[in-house]
Amino acid sequence: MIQQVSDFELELMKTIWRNGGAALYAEIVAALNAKGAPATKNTIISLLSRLIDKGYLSSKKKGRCNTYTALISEAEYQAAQTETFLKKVYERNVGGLISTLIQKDLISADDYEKLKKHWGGGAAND
Amino acid sequence: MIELLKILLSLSLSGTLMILILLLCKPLYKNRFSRQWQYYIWLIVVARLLLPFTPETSLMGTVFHHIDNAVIQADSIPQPEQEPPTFSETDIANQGNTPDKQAGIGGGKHLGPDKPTLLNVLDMAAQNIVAICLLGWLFVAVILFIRKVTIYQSFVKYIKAGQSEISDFALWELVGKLVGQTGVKKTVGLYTNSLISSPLLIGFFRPCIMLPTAELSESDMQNTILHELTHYRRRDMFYKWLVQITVCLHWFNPLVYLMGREINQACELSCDEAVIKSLDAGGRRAYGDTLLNSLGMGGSYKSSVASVTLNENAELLKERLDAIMRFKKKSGIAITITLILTLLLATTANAIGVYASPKDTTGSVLKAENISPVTAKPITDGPNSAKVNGPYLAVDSCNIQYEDTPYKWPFILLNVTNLSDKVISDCEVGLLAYDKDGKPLELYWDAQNVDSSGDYGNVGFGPDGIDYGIVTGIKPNSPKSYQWSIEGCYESIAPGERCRTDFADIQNKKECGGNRQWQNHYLRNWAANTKGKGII
Repeated sequence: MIQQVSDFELELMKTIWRNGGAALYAEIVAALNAKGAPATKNTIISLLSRLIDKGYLSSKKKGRCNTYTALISEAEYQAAQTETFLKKVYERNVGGLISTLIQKDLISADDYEKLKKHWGGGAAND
Repeated sequence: MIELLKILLSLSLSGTLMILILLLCKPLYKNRFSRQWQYYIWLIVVARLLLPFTPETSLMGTVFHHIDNAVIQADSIPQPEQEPPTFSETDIANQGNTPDKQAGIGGGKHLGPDKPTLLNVLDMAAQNIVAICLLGWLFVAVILFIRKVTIYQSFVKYIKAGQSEISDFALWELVGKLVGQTGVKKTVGLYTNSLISSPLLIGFFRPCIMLPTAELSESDMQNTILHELTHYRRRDMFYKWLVQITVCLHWFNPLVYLMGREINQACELSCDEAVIKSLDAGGRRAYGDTLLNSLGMGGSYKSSVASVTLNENAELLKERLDAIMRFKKKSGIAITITLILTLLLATTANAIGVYASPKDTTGSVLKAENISPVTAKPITDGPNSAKVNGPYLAVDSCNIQYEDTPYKWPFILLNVTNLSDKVISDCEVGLLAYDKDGKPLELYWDAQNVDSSGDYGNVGFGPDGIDYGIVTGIKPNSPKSYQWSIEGCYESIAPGERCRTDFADIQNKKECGGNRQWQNHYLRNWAANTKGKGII
């Protein structure tokens, strides 16, 4: 069970994931600026160290710069978050989730086909 | 030991004087000088309370030496002014000592080895009391400090337990902006905490701002954070801990608690001043509103030792609001006067000084305790006693030495060797004193120890380094000029170069077994007049 993070913390995690799972402070700042969501140094450093406390990141001093390495991959995070969401909102009813996705056009026909194939393939292997 | 106690008391006393000066002058400077000055000026007082540096002549030095002298005079029988004695040049050259002009003004205390006098007992009791006082002081100081530290630690723990994260990005950005604005170098954390009643900042190295609630208007939030960041930038918590240490060390002084309270208030007031310096009139009013609003916030943790809080109580708040409304930039003249007054206060603090241990000025001075032959042990008559057919004692060395200031009394250090293979349990020592013109000097001893005959008493000849004075102007055959006796001897320690000075040597103008010729021709007269009259 991984801890919940705030929006901006997730933003920081995404920046690090995009950067190949590890990033220098300067790289994070550059990425945030490029995205048009600049933040002050105090905010970034504080929240990065909060992510370290929560077990999302580890930091290593490299020369004078800290390298922040993700301890949780994006896929792991997505899986854990989905699981939590599924449990909380759909009470583990996966069908309900998928029907919502289809009803609200949140899933394209193409994606749906892929999903079905994946589902069938998984069943055939059983 | 007593010196340490005196230094401590004089530090406290001079600090007290400084506290009183600042407190009494407060109405004069309160609304005229900057709050920052009113805050940091206390550092002079804290320094005076902590640092035992003192100029050569200081108020405390004078006061405490007066007390010393009063004690000595109370101890001894007052003596009329005497001519300072001088000594034969050869004698002096022998000792390498310079006679002191102040010698002989008062009588020394006599502490006989076998007869513990009342004074002796009192002296020992006084030393014990001093030791107990110092230990008690240290004990209480350490306990108080440990208590403060543990209260602070448990406070931090309690606070940490109640904290919750802030996820509001805008709030974080506000803090980030203000951190940059105030020039704080460290990264500042931010939490809300339902347990506290007022915003505060904790952590020396990882500072964290704790807010009772995040539900504040933007201007209140900005002012609150600005205030706390200013505390951190000015290192106020180091100052607060310095004051706490001072209070712990001077726990017996009621005025230091008053000082602690004053500094706390001055801290808040000067922090306010630092914040509103950069604000316009509207901003100042808003800052005052923030102070008022923060009073209404609820919380459960009351005391917060050495943490930096935004509000303390309504009374202080009123003063802070007044100060904000009265705030104006200080003129050049005010700054000049402030500077002059600061220098004046610093000079005063220095001049008040502390008691300093008397310094060795003669170079030949020995502390009384240094000559105490610790290994000597009293002996009594027994089967091996050498009471008959003496003498068995040889004089190894004999020195006139001077005690430390302020006493500077001469005393004789006599080292003797037991030449026999027996125990020496009884001995008499004759002592002759004369000045450089050959005039006999009276050997003075504490009148309280003189026998009922008035002439014959015990003077300091003991293992504990006793002093006695020498006075001039008596007849050569006065018993006071030579008689000197004690009951009981102490075993000598090192044989050294053996030499013997007996009455025959004295008559033959020889000293130490004839190795050295006595230089004073008046000695012959003295010997002729006094032979057989009680010296041996």
